[in-house]
Amino acid sequence: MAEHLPKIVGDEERVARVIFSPSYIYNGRVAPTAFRWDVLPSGDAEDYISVLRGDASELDTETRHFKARVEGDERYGYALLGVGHIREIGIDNHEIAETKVDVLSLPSKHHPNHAGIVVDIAKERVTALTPVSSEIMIIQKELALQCSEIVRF
Amino acid sequence: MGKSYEDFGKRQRKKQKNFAESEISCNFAQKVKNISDMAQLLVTVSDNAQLPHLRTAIRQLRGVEQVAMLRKMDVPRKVLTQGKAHKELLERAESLGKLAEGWDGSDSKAIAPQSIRKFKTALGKVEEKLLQGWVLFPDAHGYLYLDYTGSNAVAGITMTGERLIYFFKKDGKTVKNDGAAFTTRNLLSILERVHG
Repeated sequence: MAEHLPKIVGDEERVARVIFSPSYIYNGRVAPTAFRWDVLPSGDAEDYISVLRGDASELDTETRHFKARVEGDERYGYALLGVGHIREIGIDNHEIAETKVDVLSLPSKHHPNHAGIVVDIAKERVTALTPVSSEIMIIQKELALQCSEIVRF
Repeated sequence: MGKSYEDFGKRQRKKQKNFAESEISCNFAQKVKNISDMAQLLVTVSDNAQLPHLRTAIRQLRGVEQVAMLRKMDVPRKVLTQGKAHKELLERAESLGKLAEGWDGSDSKAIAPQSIRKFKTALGKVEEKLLQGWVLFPDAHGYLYLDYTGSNAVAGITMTGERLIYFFKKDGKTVKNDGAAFTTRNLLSILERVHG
């Protein structure tokens, strides 16, 4: 399905983050904490925030695989973010020393259009094991603010 | 023995004085309903012994209708208005407190009861206007996250059981802190600075 996608994620592309409700969206506002680094069931700590590439039709098909994890929470939709805007986060935030945000293509067997938002703070890559800090919170907030379009399932 | 009688006398006089003051306060409160358009003068004294002399002196002034002595406990306290924002945040905190372990993947933790309890306690002491624009979210580490987006500021406060980790961006400046103690006073201070 996603063989056509170039290996380098272009600035003009948009990526999608699946959102569950009500945990990660409330009164129309996307939670900054929705942009998080997971620890996989294998125990590996992710060093990226999972997102999906592709156009709307591909994303609709692809995101159907995602299920809510607990009773009461439901699949709400996916938030679209411009890759170019994501990459500007680190540049615009002069208050955050040496921060770089990028989007990398990370295709997997089940999700060939899988990509990851990677964050480096003071030249250290943020992972799921990095303790919460105000700098990480600022990046998460900026990502949440980029979610101008939310596509409902 | 003499000293005991003296103490007893002092206690009795004190009781009588308190009773008299309470009566005056009650009467005064009732009167105030009818004379709310009249000018009132509030005088605070550091030495209670001067009060009787002060009352006598004020009574002798022309135009004085009534003199009342209010004890500190009789002075009305500032009443907090708890409206929609307060109610929504309280309900949201209670709802998030029910999230089970694994609510966002196998590594996600239930929200620490201590965070919920401290947040609810603080909520009871926050003015409604300071809560406008704030939304509460869960954090997979088991924390609460208070998020703010306003016309002139954005902010985020992570509430662990013991600490407040926060930032706010306002007027082109960013303030951040990675380790304030999670106390009602500190949380109030952040909310005031974001809104102030």
